[in-house]
Amino acid sequence: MSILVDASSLLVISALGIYIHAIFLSISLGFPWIILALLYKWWRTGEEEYFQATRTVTGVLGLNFALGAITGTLVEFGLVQAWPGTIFVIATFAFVPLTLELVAFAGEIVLLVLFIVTLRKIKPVGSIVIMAAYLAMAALSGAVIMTVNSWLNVPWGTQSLASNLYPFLPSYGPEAINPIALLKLKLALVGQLLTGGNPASLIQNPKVASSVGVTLRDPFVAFGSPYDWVSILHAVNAAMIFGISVGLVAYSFSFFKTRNVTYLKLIRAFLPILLVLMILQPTIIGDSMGKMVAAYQPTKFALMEGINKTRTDPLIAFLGYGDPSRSVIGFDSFTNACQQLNGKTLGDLAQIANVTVGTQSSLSLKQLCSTDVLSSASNLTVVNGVFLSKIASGIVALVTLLALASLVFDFGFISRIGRKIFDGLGREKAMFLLSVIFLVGVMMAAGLGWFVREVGRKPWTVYGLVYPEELITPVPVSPIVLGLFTLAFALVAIIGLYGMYYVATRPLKFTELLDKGAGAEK
Amino acid sequence: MTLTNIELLGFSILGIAVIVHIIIVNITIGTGWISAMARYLAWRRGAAELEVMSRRVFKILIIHELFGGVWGTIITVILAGFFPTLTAIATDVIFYPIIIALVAIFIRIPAIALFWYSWGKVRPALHSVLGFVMALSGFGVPLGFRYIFAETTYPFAIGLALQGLRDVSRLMVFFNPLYPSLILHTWAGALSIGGFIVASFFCIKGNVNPKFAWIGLWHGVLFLGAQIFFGPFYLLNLSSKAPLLFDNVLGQTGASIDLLPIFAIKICAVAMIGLIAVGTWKEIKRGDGSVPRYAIFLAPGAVLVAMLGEFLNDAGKFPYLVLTGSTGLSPALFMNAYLSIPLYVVFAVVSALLGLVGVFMATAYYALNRRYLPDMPRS
Repeated sequence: MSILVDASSLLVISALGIYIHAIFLSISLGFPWIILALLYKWWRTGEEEYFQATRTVTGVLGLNFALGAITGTLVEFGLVQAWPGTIFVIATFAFVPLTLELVAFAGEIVLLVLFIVTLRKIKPVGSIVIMAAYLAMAALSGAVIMTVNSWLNVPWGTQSLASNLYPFLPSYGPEAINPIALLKLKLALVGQLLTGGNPASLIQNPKVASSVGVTLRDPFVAFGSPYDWVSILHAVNAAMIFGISVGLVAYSFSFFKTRNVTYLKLIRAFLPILLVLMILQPTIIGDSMGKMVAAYQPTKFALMEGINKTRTDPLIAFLGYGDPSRSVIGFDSFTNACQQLNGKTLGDLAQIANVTVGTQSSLSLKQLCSTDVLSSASNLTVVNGVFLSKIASGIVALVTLLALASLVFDFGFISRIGRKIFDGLGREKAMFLLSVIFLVGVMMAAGLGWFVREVGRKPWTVYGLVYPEELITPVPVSPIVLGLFTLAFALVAIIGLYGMYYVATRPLKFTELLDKGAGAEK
Repeated sequence: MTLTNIELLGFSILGIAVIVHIIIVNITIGTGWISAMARYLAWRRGAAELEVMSRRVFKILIIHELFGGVWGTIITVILAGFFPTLTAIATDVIFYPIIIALVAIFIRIPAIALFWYSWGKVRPALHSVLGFVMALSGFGVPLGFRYIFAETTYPFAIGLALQGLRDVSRLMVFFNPLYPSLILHTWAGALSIGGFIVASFFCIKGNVNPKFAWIGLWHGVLFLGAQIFFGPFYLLNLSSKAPLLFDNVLGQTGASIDLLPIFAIKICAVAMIGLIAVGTWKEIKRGDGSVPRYAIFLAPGAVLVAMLGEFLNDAGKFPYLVLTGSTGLSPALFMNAYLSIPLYVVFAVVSALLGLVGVFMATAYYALNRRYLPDMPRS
């Protein structure tokens, strides 16, 4: 039996899709660093093992890229199929970022194919330039997608629209919108939601589009958000770290299994890059991210830090606001702020927008505000727990990487301590164990961090403005179909990952016929 | 009815993206099938040379596949950016066919990568199965997406949805009477283009092989022959289901745009391919003999036919985006009303994309003609 899908189950499936895609895109962003490092070494030393390693990593990158492209396409189509309301966002705030993404995506493919077909046919420095350009395109692709996601988190350019509904929210940048048009659309969505209709179906109606009219005046406004720039650095850097750490584990494993020092040489080539990225992540980028959340997403910040009641906490206040003397705002303050809306109704907003909302006009805005604050607060334990786990995972990852680096390089006193600690295990085993712990730490930190980012902005999809229920498809889908789709998605990911392992590790076995064919041709 | 500049731009850019996409996917679907067949026959017959052929043909696919996919994504963004209302309708009424296409893509791309990278690493039987999964999933993509084209040409299910029968329309979309002729025309076209591409590929200097060219040629000829039935079948369907498109293609009275010259060029191109194919057939029957140099024109000829065919199909709707018999629904109805689209961004992005097409073509040339992708898998 087909039933209308509820937002929460579809959110879980969408999240799974994004997580699976994230694995592949992280490798797409991390492996180019490894290839660049190996190519550089090959160029400078001429040692063949660097070239052979480059070729193997490139093979895995090629397969990974195909899997990333397919999961990305599915996530993209899934977005417009499952959440057709997002088509409005694509047609407005996300229009410029997504058109740029097209160039980045096309560029990635062209440059990757160019790199593969010209490797060893041109000078190493030429290959380095092509791979660097590929990496730039991959990073641009990630950056513009993050711009869209950041706009959903902080709807930059809507100025005071959200704070009119939720007085505890700040103003979001300049007024790049026609507030009346956006208000009209919002009221139409709410009207549909309250009367049991499907809000997302509204945008199928050409009359609705023409009655709402031009909503966005500045199509570039999403790029002006400081939250966006920090988010780009935070997410892209995290993805690069994760991608490189996959390579690190692979080489550590090979070193452990074979005791062949070539693998240690290969690790030495790219480990410094990983160290730099890893040190930057919590110290500068992560800290800035926290400050951005505190400034623009007060409910998320309260969830992360577990602040139910407003209180004094110099450490959190310093980390969040840069001012230890400030009180840390909790959910009680948000509920109190809702009182400012006392007496105001949906009908008042409808009057401003010059539209009618029928029987729903008496809906109290204070009640709406308080209900949403409560809804957000219901996630406090989960988000706070996940956030603290993320921080712990990040610390474990950083410490582990420093320990691993002390075994690979000679940091004098620090390396001597490291070797003493891991003496009993042996260097190969210790490196493998540390690299696995590091990978798990990074994966946990990144995965849990994304959870906080997404769940932390609930109950809204567009923070302070739009609920998931206003975007969901009107098409009834059988739960069995949804289950099968999810299973298939997971299977492709598992088979794909196994395929990459296979490509990287298996020697040729069955090429007799092909050999014969090639020989016969000669 | 006249279109505003922005409507015309949206209509044209969508058309360009669709045509580029269709050309590339036709090449990949056709070559995918031939490569899989050759791989299978190589294993079953112990025919070493067929395995070499399979791998070389597969290289054509590898080079084109992902780039074709990018243009699919480009179409989605253009649709959602320029025509959000139409996109919203499509994601509702044509929900299930789009899911079919997605599932096919979902299987296709990993299968391509696995087929290439597992060459020589897994048993030949398993590799052949992978090949067929890769090839057949390619046919599944138009199997789903062609419903969108059928519905914009003859809005059978959309019509039901507009009458309030939305739930019914989501299933009735599968019974669009225009669809069977369109999908047969599409599949035969892809196989025929794939065949001619392969035939031309094996008559390029340094890559000449009459046996391989012959296999491509008979595929091309066989499915070009099938088009003698499928083409008129589709045209006949248009005469009753989409009379405006029919009139436009044949330049009849009542046409909103006269495309008869384009149609005539297409027919001439088909005839030219037929002549070249017959000549080549005589020279390399059953793979013996030497490939004539003029056989190289089979591939560009086939691509030209695909391009003109898709142009007729899409531009033939002008000035409408969706046809309703002898008239249609204007792009204005579906146009993005929420944003004044920054034209310079659109032009810059389109220029960059076309530039990348150029780099891509140069790369493809080097990869295929200079054998920059290895014939033998490397350990």
